[in-house]
Amino acid sequence: MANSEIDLESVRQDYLASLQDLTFNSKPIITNLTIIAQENINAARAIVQAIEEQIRTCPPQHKLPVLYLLDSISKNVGGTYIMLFSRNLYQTFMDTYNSVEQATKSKLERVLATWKSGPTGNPVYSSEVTGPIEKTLSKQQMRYQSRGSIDGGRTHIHINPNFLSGINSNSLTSYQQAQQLQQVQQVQQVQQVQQVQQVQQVQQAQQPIQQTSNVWVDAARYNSGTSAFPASAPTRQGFYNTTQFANKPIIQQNQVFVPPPEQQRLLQECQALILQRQQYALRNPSDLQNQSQIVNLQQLSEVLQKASLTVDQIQQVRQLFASFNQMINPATVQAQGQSIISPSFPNLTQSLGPPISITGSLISQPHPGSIPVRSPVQQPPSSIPRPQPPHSLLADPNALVKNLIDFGLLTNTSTNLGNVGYTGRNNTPTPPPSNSVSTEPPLSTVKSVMGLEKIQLTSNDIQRKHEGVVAVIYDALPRQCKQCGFRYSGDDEGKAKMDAHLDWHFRQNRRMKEKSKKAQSRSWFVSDEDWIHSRESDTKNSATPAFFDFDSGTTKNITGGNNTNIQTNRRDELFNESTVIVPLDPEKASKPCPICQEKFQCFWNDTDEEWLFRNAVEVDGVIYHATCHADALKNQENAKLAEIENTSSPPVLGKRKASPEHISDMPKRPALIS
Amino acid sequence: MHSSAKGQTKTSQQEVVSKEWKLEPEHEFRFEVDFGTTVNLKLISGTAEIFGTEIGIGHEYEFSGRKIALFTWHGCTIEIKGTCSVEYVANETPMTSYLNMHIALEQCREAAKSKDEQGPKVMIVGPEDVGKTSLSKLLLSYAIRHGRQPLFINLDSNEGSITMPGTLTATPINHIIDVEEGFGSSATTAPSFSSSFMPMVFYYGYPDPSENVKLYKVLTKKLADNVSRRLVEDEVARVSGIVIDTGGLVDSTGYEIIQHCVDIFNVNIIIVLGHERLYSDMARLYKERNDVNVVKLSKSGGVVNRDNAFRRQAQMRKIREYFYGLPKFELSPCSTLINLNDISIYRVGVGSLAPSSALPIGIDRKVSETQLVKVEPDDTLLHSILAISTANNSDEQSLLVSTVIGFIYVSHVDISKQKMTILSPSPGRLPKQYLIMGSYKWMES
Ligand SMILES: Nc1ncnc2c1ncn2[C@@H]1O[C@H](COP(=O)(O)OP(=O)(O)OP(=O)(O)O)[C@@H](O)[C@H]1O
Ligand SMILES: [Mg+2]
Ligand SMILES: [Zn+2]
Ligand SMILES: [Zn+2]
Repeated sequence: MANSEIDLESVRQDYLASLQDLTFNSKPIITNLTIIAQENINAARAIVQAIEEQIRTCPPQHKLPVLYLLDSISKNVGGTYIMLFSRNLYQTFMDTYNSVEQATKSKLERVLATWKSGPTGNPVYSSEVTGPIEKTLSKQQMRYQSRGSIDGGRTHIHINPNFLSGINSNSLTSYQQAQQLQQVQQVQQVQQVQQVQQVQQVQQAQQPIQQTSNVWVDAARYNSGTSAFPASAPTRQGFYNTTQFANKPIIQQNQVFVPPPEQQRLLQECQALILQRQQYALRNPSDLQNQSQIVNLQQLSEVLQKASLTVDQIQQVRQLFASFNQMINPATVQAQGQSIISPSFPNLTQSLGPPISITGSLISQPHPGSIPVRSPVQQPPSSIPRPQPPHSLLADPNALVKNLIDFGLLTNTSTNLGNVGYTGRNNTPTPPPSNSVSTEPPLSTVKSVMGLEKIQLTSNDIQRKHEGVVAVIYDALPRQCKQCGFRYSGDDEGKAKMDAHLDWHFRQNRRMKEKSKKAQSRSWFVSDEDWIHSRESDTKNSATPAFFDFDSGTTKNITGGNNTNIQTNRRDELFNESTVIVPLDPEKASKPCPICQEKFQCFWNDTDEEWLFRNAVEVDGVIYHATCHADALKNQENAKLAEIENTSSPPVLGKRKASPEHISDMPKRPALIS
Repeated sequence: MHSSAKGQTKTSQQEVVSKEWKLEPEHEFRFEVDFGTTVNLKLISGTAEIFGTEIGIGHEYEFSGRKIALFTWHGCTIEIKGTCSVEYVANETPMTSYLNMHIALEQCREAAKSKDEQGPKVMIVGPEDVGKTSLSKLLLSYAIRHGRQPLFINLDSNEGSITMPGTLTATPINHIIDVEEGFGSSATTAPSFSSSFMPMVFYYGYPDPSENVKLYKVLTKKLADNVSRRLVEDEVARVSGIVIDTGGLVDSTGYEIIQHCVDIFNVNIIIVLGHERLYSDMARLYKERNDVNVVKLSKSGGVVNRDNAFRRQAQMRKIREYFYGLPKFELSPCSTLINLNDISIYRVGVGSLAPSSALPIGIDRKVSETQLVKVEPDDTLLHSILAISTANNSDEQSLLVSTVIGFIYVSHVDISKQKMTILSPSPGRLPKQYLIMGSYKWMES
């Protein structure tokens, strides 16, 4: 395998591993995973694969958050991701939609609606992509209504008659069997998930730190594009252990259906076909036959994943694929599809290697064909109690086992996750002796500065060596941001600050992207009166850049008429917090701000579970940018004042646009950049 | 940030030397990068910090025209790409004492917090090139690890840590200090990755306090008053305290200024860095004052003497950075034609650098050190850096002691048309009309 493929594959696996945490609608996790996606845009293909796989394989109740992630990446990163997600979006979306209950369905519908008019007002996904989904949704809604809510909103796999007509009648029964089998399994899975969740809760209570740390270590690895951890790195005992998963996936192996390798390959082929068809559909959106074939293939793909086929059936599917393959015009695919069709599928199929059976022994031994990574041989002495695995893997047995089967790279996966909490003073270049584990002071013995002996402010005492001083600035701050290296304490306060900090990175990254094309300039300094009184709020501590606003508050030093271009960033930050719920009426939602004619930015707020317009106010049923509206008001006031005082001071807002000589290559609304 | 991509493009264009260094615990990797070349550094494993700011694993940091020390408490492996003019590992460092200093300060802060008192006010003094600025950074960076937000006060007008040279500034340090930028800079309209600081800026206009001691004292006094006013209101800063960086002050004027600053800021900890005589003099001076501690710390063997050429280049870069930002985040200043009668330019006193043509007829050089002198615009303005005052009138009370809101650079003067072309950081008209001229000139390259 070429190096880049290994990289892509490891990114895919790492990302997939991180996705295991996304089992509920968690903004920090989504934010974080979006940043990772943004920073690894070169590996977009792998990340998209991981997300699609996760949506496909995770339990229904975990699908919505993963779809929110897809949404977040589409809106915040866009570009390649849009293109890549487009290919399977129909399947990804419908798969989610069909497996969730009604309340979640309506959430999905809202997401879909925002794709038609995204943050900039332009569609996130073209109507070629969203159209078929909507069509199917409306069909399903009709069917749902006619059938009544017998199944509580959960639709079974629907066998499209067109599809059946393409193969002989034998297969019909087989698919029906498959379907039944699958239903039984679904029930089993639900039970199992419940059990797992119970375990999970217990573990969460025991080890509150793990969950948040996971993601960021991975992020560091992604950023460097390679594994940041040397093979010989000692692990931090009692915290996050590399080898802790060695014995755990076994729990699930009897309970989850795993397609045999033969079927795996068919599945791959099937997915490749879907890709091609969707590819074709992008260029030929009006080809209805093609679209129904996509649906057929998607259903087949689902069946392949969920039920065992007989030898005969497999044979039939093969033939079917052969005929599908013939139907595709190779010229079109090659000429236009090259850049879009993922070349990784053949590779992936090859990399599957010989058929793999799931046994306990496989799990403790690396697969011979796997990428060499830190091997479990370096386990710590067995006398040390084995730490509990983080819940993330337990959360989705399905995905985990599938991982094993699909890629035969169990050791790799466990290594990724094992690195997960690597935060403190580890990775010393010279591996300590075998009792190293106990030289690591447990967190509880790290003293606060007041717990240390008092250091006198005398030259002598300052020169002396004091115990425990280094731990105060490292070990006492175990949460480390992998984006910038900054540390936070392990307690709740540290967690909250870390979350805020990650949010900040996210916003910064996004703004960097948004602003990179516009000209930026240095802001004016604050006046001393403003400097004396300005504060940063505590949560923004070490997070938000200091911006300043001359116009607000203490303007007594600067009351000349010339303060037009002074930056009003902080005020804008405040206005940014002013939001309006995105109107359901798509026509109203797509209207620009009547003052500046620019579209609103919309974002998902997970506390309200609503889509909101940023920097917006609604006045008499009309939505304005909060900043535009405030400026306009002020403008009016100023104009009045000017009349009264009979001065020549021009209104504030008007001037921004009224000095064309300077505006040429400047941002459109210089004062409104935050 | 997009490190891997950056690295790849480089290797494909030319072969960049890449070296790995393994450091034992408590060792320091010292390296120098010339102006005009860049070196990328990546932490592979372990922990590492640069002047107190911990760096993240796997990120590539880029340096140009810098002299840097990367220290590790736990040992680490790093990768260096590019050519350093100097690179070596040192095992002897004063870092233990620097960290002890921080812990002692942190203990003062905890005590201050519990008693609702003022946190430590530290002033770092010593000759040139002993690492005063580096120690300030380290103490500030360590402080923010504990969630502190100390004020950084730069009284070394030659250095321009946060912004232009010639300034005296006070800056709340509320976030990580950017290791690539050296100190970070004042806010821009851009959300740069390393976020910016919000300084309060006075313009003194000369590199050396002895150039106009009276003005220097007046401005530092006003700065100190404002800082005190903020500390009354700002509890986080009050507990966190202040760190004052100074220029090399070892002569008699230096002593005078040190004492002046200890008084106006109520400094309670004087750190004397790398100068025995200064230490014993200070210890003697403040022997009777039990509210002032004088502590000596040794200079790091790594601190480099910067020759005048390097200093000048560093200054020019700082000026350029004010207008144009840094390569990793560029800014677009605005070139504007302004009417000379829309503005009034002043200078303070009659420094040795004052062009005689700038003096009004009939006024000789014996003008008071703090008297405002109006500068009649002429060709001598060319290439000057002018500070824009917040003042609204030109009387001594307001203009002399006002902060500034920014700087312009004069790129062309046309006396016949009574116009000049300036480079302004922000688009649009100048927000203020009173400008202050110091001794700084700049050639836009
Ligand atoms: N331990 C070190 N190893 C290598 N370089 C260092 C070290 N400490 C400081 N330097 C570098 O040496 C130079 C001088 O240090 P610094 O600016 O801190 O000295 P200073 O006392 O503030 O000087 P000045 O009086 O001119 O302001 C800087 O370029 C700094 O980056
Ligand atoms: Mg200095
Ligand atoms: Zn960070
Ligand atoms: Zn608007």
